[in-house]
Amino acid sequence: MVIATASADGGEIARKEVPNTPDEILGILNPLVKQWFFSRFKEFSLPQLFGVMEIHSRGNILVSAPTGATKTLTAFLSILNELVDCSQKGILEDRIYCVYVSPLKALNNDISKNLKEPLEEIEKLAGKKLGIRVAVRTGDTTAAEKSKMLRKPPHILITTPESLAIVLSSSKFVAHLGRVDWCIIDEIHALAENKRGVHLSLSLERLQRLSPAMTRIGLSATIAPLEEIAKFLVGIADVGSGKYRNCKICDVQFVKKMDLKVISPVPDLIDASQASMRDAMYTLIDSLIQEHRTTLIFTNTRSATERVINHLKEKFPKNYATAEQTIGAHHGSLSKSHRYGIESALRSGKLKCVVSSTSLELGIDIGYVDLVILLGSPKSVARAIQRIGRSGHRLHETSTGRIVVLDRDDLVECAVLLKSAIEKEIDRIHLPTNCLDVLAQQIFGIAIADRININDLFSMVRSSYCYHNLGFNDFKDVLDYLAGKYISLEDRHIYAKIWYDESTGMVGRRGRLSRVIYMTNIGTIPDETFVTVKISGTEQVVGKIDESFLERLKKSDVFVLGGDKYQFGHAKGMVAYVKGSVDRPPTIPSWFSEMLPLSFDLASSIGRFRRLMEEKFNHNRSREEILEFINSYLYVDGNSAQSIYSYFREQFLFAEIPHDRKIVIESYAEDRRHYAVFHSMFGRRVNDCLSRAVAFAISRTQHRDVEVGITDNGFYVAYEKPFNATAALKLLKSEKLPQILSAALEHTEILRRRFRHCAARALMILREYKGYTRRVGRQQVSSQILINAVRRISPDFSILKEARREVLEDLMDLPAASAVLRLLEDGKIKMKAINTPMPSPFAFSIVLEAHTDVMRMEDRQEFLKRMHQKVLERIGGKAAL
Amino acid sequence: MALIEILPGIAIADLALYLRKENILVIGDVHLGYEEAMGRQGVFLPRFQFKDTISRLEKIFSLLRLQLKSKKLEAVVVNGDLKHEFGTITGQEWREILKLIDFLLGHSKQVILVKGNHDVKLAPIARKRGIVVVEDIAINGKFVSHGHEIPASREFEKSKIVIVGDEHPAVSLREGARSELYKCFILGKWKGKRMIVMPSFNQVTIGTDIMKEKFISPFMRQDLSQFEVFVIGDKVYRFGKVRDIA
Repeated sequence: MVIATASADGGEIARKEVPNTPDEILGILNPLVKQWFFSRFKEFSLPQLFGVMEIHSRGNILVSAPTGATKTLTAFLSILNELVDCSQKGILEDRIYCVYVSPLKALNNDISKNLKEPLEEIEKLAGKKLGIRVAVRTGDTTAAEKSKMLRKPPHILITTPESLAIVLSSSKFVAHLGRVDWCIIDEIHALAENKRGVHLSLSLERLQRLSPAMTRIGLSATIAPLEEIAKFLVGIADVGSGKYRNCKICDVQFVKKMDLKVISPVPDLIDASQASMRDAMYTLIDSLIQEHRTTLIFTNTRSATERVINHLKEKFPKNYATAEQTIGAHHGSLSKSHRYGIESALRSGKLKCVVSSTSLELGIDIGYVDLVILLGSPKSVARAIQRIGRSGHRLHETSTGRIVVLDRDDLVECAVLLKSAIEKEIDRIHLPTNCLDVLAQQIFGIAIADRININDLFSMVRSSYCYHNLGFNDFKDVLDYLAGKYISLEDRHIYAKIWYDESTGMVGRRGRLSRVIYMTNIGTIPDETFVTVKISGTEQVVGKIDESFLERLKKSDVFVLGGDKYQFGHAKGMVAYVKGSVDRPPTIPSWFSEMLPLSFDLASSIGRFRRLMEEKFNHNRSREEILEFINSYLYVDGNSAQSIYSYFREQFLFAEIPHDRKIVIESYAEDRRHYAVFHSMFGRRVNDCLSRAVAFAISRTQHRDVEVGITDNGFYVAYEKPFNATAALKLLKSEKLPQILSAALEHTEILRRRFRHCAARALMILREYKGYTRRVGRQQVSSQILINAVRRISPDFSILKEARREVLEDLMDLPAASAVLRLLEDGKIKMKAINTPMPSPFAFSIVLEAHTDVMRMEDRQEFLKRMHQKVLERIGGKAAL
Repeated sequence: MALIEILPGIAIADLALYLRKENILVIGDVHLGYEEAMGRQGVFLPRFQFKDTISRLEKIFSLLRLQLKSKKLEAVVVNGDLKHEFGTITGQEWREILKLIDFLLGHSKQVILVKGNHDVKLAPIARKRGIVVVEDIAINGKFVSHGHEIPASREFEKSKIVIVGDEHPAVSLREGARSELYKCFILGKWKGKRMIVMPSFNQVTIGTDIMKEKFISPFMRQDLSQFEVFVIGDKVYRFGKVRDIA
């Protein structure tokens, strides 16, 4: 049985198509290890057959397999074998042989336990101590433990990306990192797609510089494209030729069987009222939970997690509001001890159900789970498979997943997602590159550890996949920033973070505080800026809102939070005081800053399905024929097929079905506002770009602010006067898009917010300094001031440039948006403008659920003048000057 | 920009108040040393505030010169919080406060420093120029005080008009999803006196939103809805009462 499918794309990164034989592995195993292995397992698993020999012969390798597929033991078997062998031969040295990195402290503790147990068992078999040391080093490690590690280094060091970067800058610890044989990156899929991974990629190059012969092992859940992940794992061997280090890819992603279904709680999603819908959903969830032993429910937000638990307890007190806890929440906002309690209750089988947002996606040991329920679309095929893979933990068990959908868009999306999952079409992730903020932080760390020539530094940086095409000018700008060159000479000593001698090209440490600053401010995960919402007078917390949402609130504004309405009273620092039980409708739309975006690939699949559906209707196919098509194409049940059919039929009859080759632009007016809804099924990351560019094109001619609303399925533009939306889209040229968007983004909240994150990563804003921890809110205020000041230094200041790049490439998807525009230019995607009296069925969610923003075209001074005019009109000009 | 008289003999001149009869200019809440104070908290803000303060003052002086017969002002009153750091005097504060006093003395016969809650250690700097920091000052029935506490003086009780700062009033104007914050003067009453609250002269920050924040200053802990709002933009904009904006 060979699972690996695609052929190698040539050269140094190659798929391993054929596994090794059990005999080959048996041939290298120390008798003791062999004895231990077969005392625990019947045979080698497929990932082991693929991986163990590679690791033994020091070849870089990426293993992609689902959770519970024995990935970790695959990575560690050769290593344990080597260590046991050395110990028996009396040649075990006091050095670190293996560095294991995972994104989670909880996972590190699991791994440590899972290594210490086999070692004890092997020692028992050997009848003596082997002296193999395993140690965990994270932010929680005590000073005593750290100094113990320094005196006697562990043979296997288990750590996080952040702690790895710290030990790499510790001049004493570095002595133990000189001959590392292996570095394992676990859950690499969760790192590669964000700046933690970018940061780690540079740490790996730093480690490789200390241990040139080090082998890299990557372990990943389901993800695509594996070739890129492999390149990310190994980096570049020779910066001159750009040749990657060798790496074998073992693709055993689909080794586990999956039983997947999309279910809708009611037969017809359109007729059901909100209340009956909610009722039916919880009844459905309850019966699924009761039919299984342990159920894991994923929601897309933390607040939804709490909501689900509360509703289940209210509706089914006998099942969930019992003396003995049967249900619990697990998400990032909960305390460590709470989460740990839930994890151990899961492991001991005490819980019937756990509701989580994202925190249980990764491979922490949660014991036996036989059902995963996804509430609402997980927005990407890979994420769906990763989440569902948490059930049936062992390799030979089937993963059972049920996706519960709540509306018709959700139904179509999840049905197409299910099809992709079954047909093994995994959406591709985006890997951030050339991140100047992370680079600044790492150069600072490198300079603390050692003096280094900037040319050596530049080639080390460029060895990372994430920086392989970094320009020298950008690199130099980061050095200049760190050296304080943007500040006049007299004050430079306060701003300079590194010592940089331009005549010799050497950089190094500056100031005695550098090391402390580095250790206390390291990392790439931004602090969140939330404002706590409390009921006036009671101090009762009802939830959290985004800080920029607070900026928009005015006294007596009514807004929705967690399904309930509140009236805003006043703010005090980072707390908003509100009144509950409000009768008036909301006066301001809710604003969720950053939701999971629908992947471009999945969006395109939905677009394709829409096209096939339109063809059926255009060819006057009968209801039965179309239902049959839906059933066979999407693997859904009869109810769902019926809902999908009527949804498309309504859209077809009322307006026009948009799809991957046709953007429908629907115009209507409401309350003297003119709306143009663009049905562009490309996912939020692309629509964010397109909508802002269109709004920019419109506002440039009007010199006024234009409102945009963005969703995964499309976007709308709203303005007080009629405008030509189609012409605006036609005007956009793909090659001009980067400039247009840079200009369009300059005064947005999102740029300001991301700039704060970047400034913190680049250590321009320190979270901790001289024992002083900054409140996030203060950071936000400061960053607003900071961004203004930095603009005055240079509009292309490296950290500001990085904030723009992050918004355009990581948060949004500029390349894909440009590609869409090119297809429009080439006529491969058509535009169709229609007028409707009211939003069409497909347009409803775009208008209702959009995340709104304004394109600020109007100058601050002009805005003030106009607001003044409005006030004068309101108060009858009596205050006129 | 023109001078806008908001009470008899009291005019708004950009971010300052001009007392016409007395030929005195009042500014407040400059917070020099802000950048270094931020730097001490780990926010490395490039330094622009002093330069911006000087050019803003120059703008006001040229505005006043159109009105002035004599070339120099009688006095500039700095109504508190000239410096930012409470507990110590930073290098930036030494340098910039002395430079600012010298600059003001180039345009005014005297500089009067009223003590603000941030000015705990202002006196040693002021002494270098022979200036005594005062708690507050009464000018023909107009009482100028920083405003962080109620003055305990006869003069204060007798005065009809009180001019305070301290809270950095600003107003947010909103339309649709857009909201912008502007510095503003507010004019209202406090226990039978007319009260003017001045915006901060600080060139880095805007201020605290009167439309949604609750204030700490004893002068500001009251219903502000009847206060008149004067927004400072390219000129002075009279926005009517707070409740008209909401």
